[in-house]
Amino acid sequence: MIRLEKKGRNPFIVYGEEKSIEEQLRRNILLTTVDAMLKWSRRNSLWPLPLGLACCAIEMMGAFFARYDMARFGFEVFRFSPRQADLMIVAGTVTRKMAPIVKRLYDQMSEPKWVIAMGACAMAGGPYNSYAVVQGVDNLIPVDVYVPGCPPRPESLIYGIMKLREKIKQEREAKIL
Amino acid sequence: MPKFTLNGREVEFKQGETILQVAWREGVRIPVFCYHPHLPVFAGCRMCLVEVELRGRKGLLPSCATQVSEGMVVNTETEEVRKARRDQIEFLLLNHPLECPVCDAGGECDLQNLTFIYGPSESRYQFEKTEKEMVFAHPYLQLYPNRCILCNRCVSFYQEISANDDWGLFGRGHDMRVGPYRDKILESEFSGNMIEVCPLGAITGRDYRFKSRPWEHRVINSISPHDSIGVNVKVYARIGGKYSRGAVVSGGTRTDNHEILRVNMRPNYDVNDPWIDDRTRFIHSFVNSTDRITQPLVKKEGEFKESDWEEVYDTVVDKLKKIKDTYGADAVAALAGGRGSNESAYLFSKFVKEIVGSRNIDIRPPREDFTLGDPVFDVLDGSFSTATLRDLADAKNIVVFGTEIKETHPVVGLKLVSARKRGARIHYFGKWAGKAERRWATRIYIYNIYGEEEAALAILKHASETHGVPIPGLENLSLQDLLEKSGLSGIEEAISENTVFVFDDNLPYLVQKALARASVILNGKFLLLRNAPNGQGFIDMGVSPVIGKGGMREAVPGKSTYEIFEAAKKGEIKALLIYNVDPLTEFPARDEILDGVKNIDFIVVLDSFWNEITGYADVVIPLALHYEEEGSYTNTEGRVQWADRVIQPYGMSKEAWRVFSDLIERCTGEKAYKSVVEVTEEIVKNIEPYRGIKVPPGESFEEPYPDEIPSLKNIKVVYRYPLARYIASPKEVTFEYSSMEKREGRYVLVQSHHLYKTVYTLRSESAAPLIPYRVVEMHPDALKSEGLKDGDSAVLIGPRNQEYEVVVRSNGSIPENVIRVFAPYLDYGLNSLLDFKGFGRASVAQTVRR
Amino acid sequence: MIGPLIKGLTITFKYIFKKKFTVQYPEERRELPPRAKWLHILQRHEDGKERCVACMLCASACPTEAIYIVGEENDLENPISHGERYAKVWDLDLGRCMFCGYCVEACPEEALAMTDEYELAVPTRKDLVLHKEDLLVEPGTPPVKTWLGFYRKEPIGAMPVTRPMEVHVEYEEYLKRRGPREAHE
Ligand code: SF4
Ligand code: SF4
Ligand code: SF4
Ligand code: SF4
Ligand code: FES
Repeated sequence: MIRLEKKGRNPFIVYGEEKSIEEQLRRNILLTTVDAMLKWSRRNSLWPLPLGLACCAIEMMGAFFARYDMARFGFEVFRFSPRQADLMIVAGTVTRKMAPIVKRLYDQMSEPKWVIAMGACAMAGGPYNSYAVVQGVDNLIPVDVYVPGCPPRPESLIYGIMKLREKIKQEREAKIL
Repeated sequence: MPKFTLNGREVEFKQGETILQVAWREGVRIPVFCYHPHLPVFAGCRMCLVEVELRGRKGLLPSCATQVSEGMVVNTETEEVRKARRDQIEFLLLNHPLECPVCDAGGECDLQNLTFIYGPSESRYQFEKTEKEMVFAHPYLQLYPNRCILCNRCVSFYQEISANDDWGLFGRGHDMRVGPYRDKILESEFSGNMIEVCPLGAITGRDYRFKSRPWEHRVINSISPHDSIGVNVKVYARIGGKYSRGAVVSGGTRTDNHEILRVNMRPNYDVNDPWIDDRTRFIHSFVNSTDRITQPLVKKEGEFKESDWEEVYDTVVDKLKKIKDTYGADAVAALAGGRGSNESAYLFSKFVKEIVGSRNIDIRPPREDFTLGDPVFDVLDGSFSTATLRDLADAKNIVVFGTEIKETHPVVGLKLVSARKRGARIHYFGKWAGKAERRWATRIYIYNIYGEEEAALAILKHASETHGVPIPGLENLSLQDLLEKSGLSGIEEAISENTVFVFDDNLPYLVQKALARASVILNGKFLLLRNAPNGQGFIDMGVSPVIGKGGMREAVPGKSTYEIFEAAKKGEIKALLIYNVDPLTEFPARDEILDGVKNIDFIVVLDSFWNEITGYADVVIPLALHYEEEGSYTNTEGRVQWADRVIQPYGMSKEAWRVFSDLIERCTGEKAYKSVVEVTEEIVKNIEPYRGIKVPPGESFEEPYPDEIPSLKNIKVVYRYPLARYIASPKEVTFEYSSMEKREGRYVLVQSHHLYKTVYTLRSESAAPLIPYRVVEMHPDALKSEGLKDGDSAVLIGPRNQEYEVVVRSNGSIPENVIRVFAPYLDYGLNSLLDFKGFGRASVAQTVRR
Repeated sequence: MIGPLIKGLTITFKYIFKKKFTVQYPEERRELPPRAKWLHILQRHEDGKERCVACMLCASACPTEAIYIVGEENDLENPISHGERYAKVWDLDLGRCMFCGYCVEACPEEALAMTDEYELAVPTRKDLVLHKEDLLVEPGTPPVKTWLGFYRKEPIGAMPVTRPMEVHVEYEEYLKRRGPREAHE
């Protein structure tokens, strides 16, 4: 396990008020820690596992195609195999029958991994308050960002992913197992 | 049977029926505003117009007031009729404000619904609407005269059914309106029914104000917890828990799942008709009182420590075992307050009588005369009334003895009003009589404050003389003497064949026994009104020293409440279980009881509220309240009714039957009862009078989103409850008469009751404006001689110079030397003036001073 | 082999010189249609009073029961809304809401409106429940059109069962059980 940067400060942000030598160095020389480097690379190349379970999947596809073109942010590599993905986008209704599969896919993803719940059904069950629908995918797996909408616009999803990027940036230390 | 044509169908009818009655019976929905099945026909709204064709003539007639005749052709939904209704609604809406969004009736308003169906979608009225001022006639009622359509229903209810006269219709034409005649709180204890009688939102209840909408409700059938009539109610709570969706699931703040929104009537013609009293309707916030006990507590080194159920059970079982082993089972005693279900009572008495083995268990107040036994049991070999509430409405001659019906059992008053309307003679015997009694009494007899027993014995003597039945023990007394002592004259009229007697169980032993015996001699009936809400059920379940296994007579009776405290004073009682009663504030003779309580080693209090006795407890067990548990309840006539749970128990509290079942499990090793229905089944098997009774649990939850509106014909007619059956075997009984001991003193303190002063109302914040807090009542002349005014605060001085702070109110109907005080005494300690002998009478030696 | 490749690449290269239609989302936004249905707001009257009177029609119109309201009586001296009551609690659960707009249509006071705010992602489930404070606009905000009555048609209803009818049925039942006798009231 590597534990380096512990200050919780972002090396890419220029803290204007600090004028120490350290700060000057940081500004002018590419000097970073392994941790910051890792986080930077991770958040700029999230490889999503598209878990399209219902109508939200259509909007998810919309977000990935040319009109909204998420490749601009480096998220375009859809991986249908969980081992190569690090972001799971749960887009759609998680039924009780589907629940074990969702859980298994999540378990099969390698660390570090993040989850976005896209749309009302994935977030909280949405309009389906029924015996057949899991009332929120966070009952199964930890969710990092919730994207409301039914379905959300592609922009909403992109906004959600940007939120996730911020979140990764603010993580105290890189998850390396 | 004669026939007529209704919407193209041949329909049979009975002579004298109106078109509306037949149509509704046949499932044809005719809209109405002013018609109500139980109120006189007013025929003022013209919503019920139908097209009638008879002998070639055709026209629109109000169906609520038109009797059907042979060969009529009636059409209820022609174009003509729809147009007439539309115009009528347009007229009604002329001055009606457009405020459905803020109106409490929105969603269940007949005007709203009918406007949707028949009304015009736009108004042609261009002018200012009239504005009338809002009327507050009662702390719980609000009248919006703007919304009123003058259908007169509230007025007919108020004047005909409740027989009060301070609400009516007045003014003419444009200025006509309904409202109170005086600037005072409405007199009737049924005023809340006007909310339900009003077809729209002109009268709304302030307890339910703006809280919710009808489509958010869960409706649960329950029974009123306030009196022993067992008034049938529907309780409205918000859809919550399992049935709710939305915010609650996502971690939102739905805090009011625990709230009862309102209580409405449920028609049951055996008990309450479609009317309920205000106390039942408006007092329900006690379930969320800040006085609730939330946790089981155990006293350690003089201080209560928060505890858990395991520890509490272990402590109780260990201590009781130890006490039983060293002192014997008779060193354990138990008291109950009669609030709770039959199931809880059954397991309570099972725990005390069978597991602990003690016979010292009682629910009656401590009074010396109750050591003689149970008055009714002594006469009839059963603990029950012989009359039902229905008999009351049918009776020809009724004697109401010594009971303030309005304060304790208001619904009986309605029955008496309707009996009087039917021509019954109703004789009221009492210490005094007020306006409430004059509503139904045909004749009033006032006896002396100390002449209660003589008055009852006079009735018995008279009955025995006229029927030639000798009464052992009364041979030496002459009727003349008795009448003289009681201050009555001319009671012959009141006593005739088939008289129905009505009295309550707080009266002296001798009175109850005499009246029960008199009813047997007269071939009549009697209705014993229990003061505890489930008093009848508790006694039947064996929470009484004279009743043993299976609801039969106990061979060797145990100690009554009075004897328990006497024995405690001598140190013979080592452990006391107190279930839902506070002897220090609900019973007379507080000082004597306190002496006893201090002498007892181990006190377990099972209650829902903090009160005085909890301070002396060693273990406090929090119990669920009435609306939080389900179970059967026996009303005062013996009708066994089922109440469903409305909300979850508060905090950590548990239903009483569960607590006793757990205790029994710990003592015997038998498996605890899994559900309340198992206990009910055991009761039905074991208790003789209840044998074979079917109490239907369930069928409670009304789906808030029914798939279709039920047709009129398919309205579920909900439960019918059976009466517990007894076989009465009247016996010849002996009477021992000694006149009541008089108390010397300037004033006589007389214990009385008030509709809004009960254990529950005192815990309801919303009842505050109605509770007579610290109030004592005196005659205006007496007040004047003391130099006091109505509403002054004063100090009452007892015979041993005890001082009590009170608020005096004047009441012209009580005698001049009487101070009327209201039980329970949570607000003042006046019960320390009363004692075990005086039947709620005591002297106030000196005076009242400011 | 080479033919189709060239054909495909031609198309690719043709598009290289076309105008790009990718929306550069965070910097550039598409204009939404005027009736776009995204985040709700609670509006105010011109005098700054809240429009919502807690009539709960939105809550009842909502197919997913995402709205939860508790009404309260206005202080007459210092009212919060016009009319007698106001919403003490007005919660919207975005976890349930499907932005159908039925609530807005139901609102008789034009209190509820929908905006084009679609950037709603939140990090925890608790944040999904928006409270009245989050939804209420500042006083003086220009009103948003609510399209009240846009889809409205003439209502057709069936005659409902009213309370006297219920009582009547219950009473007839009772009389039947009780045997022949004149009505006892
Ligand atoms: S009484 Fe009925 S019609 Fe009138 S404002 Fe209230 S809900 Fe609307
Ligand atoms: S207040 Fe209601 S019941 Fe009374 S007359 Fe007006 S509308 Fe009718
Ligand atoms: S937009 Fe639709 S789902 Fe959302 S709160 Fe309104 S009615 Fe409910
Ligand atoms: S419908 Fe409009 S006025 Fe009624 S509660 Fe909802 S937001 Fe408030
Ligand atoms: S209901 Fe017949 S006239 Fe009003």
